[in-house]
Amino acid sequence: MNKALILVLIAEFWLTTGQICFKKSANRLNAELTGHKPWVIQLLERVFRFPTLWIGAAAMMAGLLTWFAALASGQLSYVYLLGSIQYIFVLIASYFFLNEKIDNAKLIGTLLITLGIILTAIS
Amino acid sequence: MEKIIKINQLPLKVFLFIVLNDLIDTTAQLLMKKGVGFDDPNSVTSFIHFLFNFSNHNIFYFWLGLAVYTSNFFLWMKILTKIDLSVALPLACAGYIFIPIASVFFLHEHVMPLRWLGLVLILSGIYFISNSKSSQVTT
Repeated sequence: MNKALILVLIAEFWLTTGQICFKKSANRLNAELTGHKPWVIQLLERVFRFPTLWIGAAAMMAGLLTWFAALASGQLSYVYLLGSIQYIFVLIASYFFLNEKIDNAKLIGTLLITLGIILTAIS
Repeated sequence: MEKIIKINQLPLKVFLFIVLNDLIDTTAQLLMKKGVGFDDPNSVTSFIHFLFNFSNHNIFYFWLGLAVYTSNFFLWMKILTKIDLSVALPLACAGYIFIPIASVFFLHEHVMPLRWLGLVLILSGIYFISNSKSSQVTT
């Protein structure tokens, strides 16, 4: 069981890193967007210029592989239950790395969703 | 041009994008599950061997699911250019609502009462987060 816990924590660390990098790319893209071209083209044009996109994709892949390893090592529902910690990780990381604000509604909502996922996982 | 506004509620358009994102995600996961046929791989290496065993025709469902999953990246980036990550990600958990419902209808699985309670909690969490007053929305 402890092996599953460690693997899930590593997986969630990478998945959170990936999401933060994607959001940083999105913010930078937002600052450069013009109305002249389709949005997807403007994103594709920047694929080579935004290192955060590549770091994000690599972190996502590392996270998914570790997630598969976690699924292979432990009980499935236990792993899903632990995985709900991602929402708390992302809330904290987006506060520190993206300067996103946390208010009561966001905090309560995130905790309710985490609790709800734990309930669906144990049943 | 970047224009950030403070809002009291999530714009409907962005919310619908997230719902679409969840639906695509659920479809991809169901396809991958149909392709793999089991939940619990014995080990990562045997799992990888299994995925590349193309004499098993069901495995194409897995690869189709993975392709759908990957293409969803563009929609996710679109969402991230519109709202905070700490709003988008919890809302994207609606897969936890669609998957049990889809499992009931398409895979004929049973859903326990405690799981329905979990779904109610998730829905109320989504309600709270959509009403978060500190979210930044870019238009």
